[in-house]
Amino acid sequence: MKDNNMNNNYLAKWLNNEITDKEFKSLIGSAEFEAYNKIKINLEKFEAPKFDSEAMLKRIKSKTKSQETKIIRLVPSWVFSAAASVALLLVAYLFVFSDTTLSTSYGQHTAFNLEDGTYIRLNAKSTLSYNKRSWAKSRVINLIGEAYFEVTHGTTFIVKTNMGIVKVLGTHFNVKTNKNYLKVVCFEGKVEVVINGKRTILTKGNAFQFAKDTMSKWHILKNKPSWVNGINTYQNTPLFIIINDLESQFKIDIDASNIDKNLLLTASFDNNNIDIALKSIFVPLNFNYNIKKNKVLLSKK
Amino acid sequence: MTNSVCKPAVYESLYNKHAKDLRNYLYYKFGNLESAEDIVQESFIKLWQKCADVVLEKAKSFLFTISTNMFLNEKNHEKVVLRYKKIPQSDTNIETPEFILLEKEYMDKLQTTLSNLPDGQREVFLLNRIEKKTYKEIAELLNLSVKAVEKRMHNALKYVREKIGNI
Repeated sequence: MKDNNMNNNYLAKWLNNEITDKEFKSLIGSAEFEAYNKIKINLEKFEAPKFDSEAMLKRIKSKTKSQETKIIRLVPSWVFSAAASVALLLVAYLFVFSDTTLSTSYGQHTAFNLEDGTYIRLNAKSTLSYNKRSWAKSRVINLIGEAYFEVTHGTTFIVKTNMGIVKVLGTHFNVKTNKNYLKVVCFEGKVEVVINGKRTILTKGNAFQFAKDTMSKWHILKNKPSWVNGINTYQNTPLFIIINDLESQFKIDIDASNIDKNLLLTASFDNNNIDIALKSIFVPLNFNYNIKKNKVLLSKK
Repeated sequence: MTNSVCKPAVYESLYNKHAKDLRNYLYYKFGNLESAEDIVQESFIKLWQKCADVVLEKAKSFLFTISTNMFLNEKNHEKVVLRYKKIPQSDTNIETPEFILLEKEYMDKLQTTLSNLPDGQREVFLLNRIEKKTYKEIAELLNLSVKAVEKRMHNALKYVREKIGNI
């Protein structure tokens, strides 16, 4: 034997071909080897009873099915009341523990007040959620899309987006999110924006934008976002963000595959009139647009 | 949720993957073929009923555990009697009647010895020798270490060698 390790469970190792016949023979002698080898060879003749896999699966399927139908047919009436109370508990559970979600569809705006008096206005095709139960302790809102906030003074108010976090104490501000895009405009008070651990403080009249890894800041004069009054405005904003908003407002599909969607644009459009809106964005850019039903195809002139 | 056991396709793939192994394991361990199949069936029905509670990675050990428990609780332990193929080792027809008789005697003895293998060793030994499962696969199926499987294999073969004697 090469080493002592082989003595350890050497029969198992021989069966597993970790030790060759030759090595095994030299270990135990040829008479013993013949006896063991005979066992090994004859073991090959044994077989397990046949297993009819398909037949069993059929039986299992019919059993799980029949159990289901049994429940439907033979439920005693108390089950219904039990089920009703379970449902009630579930609703109560959802009400207490799960997040409250509000969303808007194409072209739809909605405004509402939270328990603490905070006013929120949600732009088209946006979703907002928060936990009612823990609201008193931590004011955290998850946002996809765009919303304008007038926050009542209290504990830190946090807006979480896929791009970063917006923290405030009590102010009026607007948050707009998209894939790889975040815009925060502060209309009153102070706002803190955290993206990838990097903090930016915004004071009254300042706007901040993070698009495709580049950051820009500018001043504004208004005291409310213009979309609240039916006009979307943009400052050095990538075209794809504006296209996305046009799609959300007017429930259209814009095919911009022929043009550069990262073009930065300062523009605005009217929320209420699709023709004027499309004209005001695309005519200055010198783009052609064809409208067919809900589809708009863009091309260069 | 994408790989929930409650999904019929996932459930069925679990069945195809484990039903046969489970049946053979139960049979080698407890000896009663009919009960083994009943319990495989019961175990898979249970898995379906509890599909929401069992994560995919735990499904195999769920099946092996509950089926073993069911056997221990309700069924009688019987001896495994495996059948062997009565095919002559060589087809050159030089075997004398005496030789054939000796062969039969040997096989019957081997059969009895396998039946009498101690619990624990028997299912491991048969899963390897008959089902051709590797030590690693057996270790995974039965929640043992590979070392423990090796030990059982070694002791099982040693046992068989002792019982078979020199015929």
